[in-house]
Amino acid sequence: MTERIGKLTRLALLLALAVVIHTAESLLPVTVVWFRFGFANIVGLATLYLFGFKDAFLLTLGRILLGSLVTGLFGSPAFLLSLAGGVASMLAMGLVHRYCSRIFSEIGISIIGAVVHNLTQLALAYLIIIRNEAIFLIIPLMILAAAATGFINGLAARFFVAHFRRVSPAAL
Amino acid sequence: MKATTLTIADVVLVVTLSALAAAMFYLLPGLLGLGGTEVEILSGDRPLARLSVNQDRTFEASGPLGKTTIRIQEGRARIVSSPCPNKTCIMMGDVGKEGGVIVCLPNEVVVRVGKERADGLDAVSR
Repeated sequence: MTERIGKLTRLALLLALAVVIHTAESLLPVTVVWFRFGFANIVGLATLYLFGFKDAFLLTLGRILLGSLVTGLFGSPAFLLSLAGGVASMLAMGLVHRYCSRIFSEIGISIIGAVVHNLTQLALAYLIIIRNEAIFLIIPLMILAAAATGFINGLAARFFVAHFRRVSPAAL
Repeated sequence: MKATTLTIADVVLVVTLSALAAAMFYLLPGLLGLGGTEVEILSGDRPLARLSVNQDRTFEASGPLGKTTIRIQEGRARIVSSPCPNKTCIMMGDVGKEGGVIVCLPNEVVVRVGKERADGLDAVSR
């Protein structure tokens, strides 16, 4: 019982943290930073390592739902893009973590997640917003941005997981 | 494992993605078939003419500063004279079937070469 409550409490804290990061990042001006760092995914990735795929997936869903309520974008195209990207990238990271966690580190998995996130969003943006093939010209830039942000986030997640295990050994 | 260690697979992934990005940078415009034969001339956001890039002719577009002359010759469109101060639009050179845009910002003239479009909108977003 206490174990379950302990897990619930930790996941609730992680979700709260993810929502705060998600919201804080949405305040960055897109005119200066044209891509998103996706820092909230640090928490998603760390949860994947700490608690497994199911909890990480639910955390990502919860983060996007709550985050979009805070930013007032719930139900907007931006929300749909965010949701599709988050779901697809968490599925990809979950699969790679399940079957290839020996060969890819957190950084590799984070980069895969970031690339899948971006490509999913671009494909969906093409389908529901911009029916113009020219938007696919941005794929090379998006892949490079995803590799860079994925690297940073993967590294951060590695520190996050190590620190979490140290301060909260009961977690796992 | 040290804090910043990458596995071999991580490195392979990064290298592959970089190579893929570089390849796509050069190959995508061709693969997407973005070019076309329609020359669309706009003054601000008002369309003035839709011409064919295959038909030689000269067109005068009037903007706030005066007349900008666009010449279509041997399958390529270019701005040959313009009343704007620094003539950047003339220096932009010519655009052919591969598609592209020449803009004269001061005189608000846009010459776009590309596919015919069903409506005048590129995109609608909030």
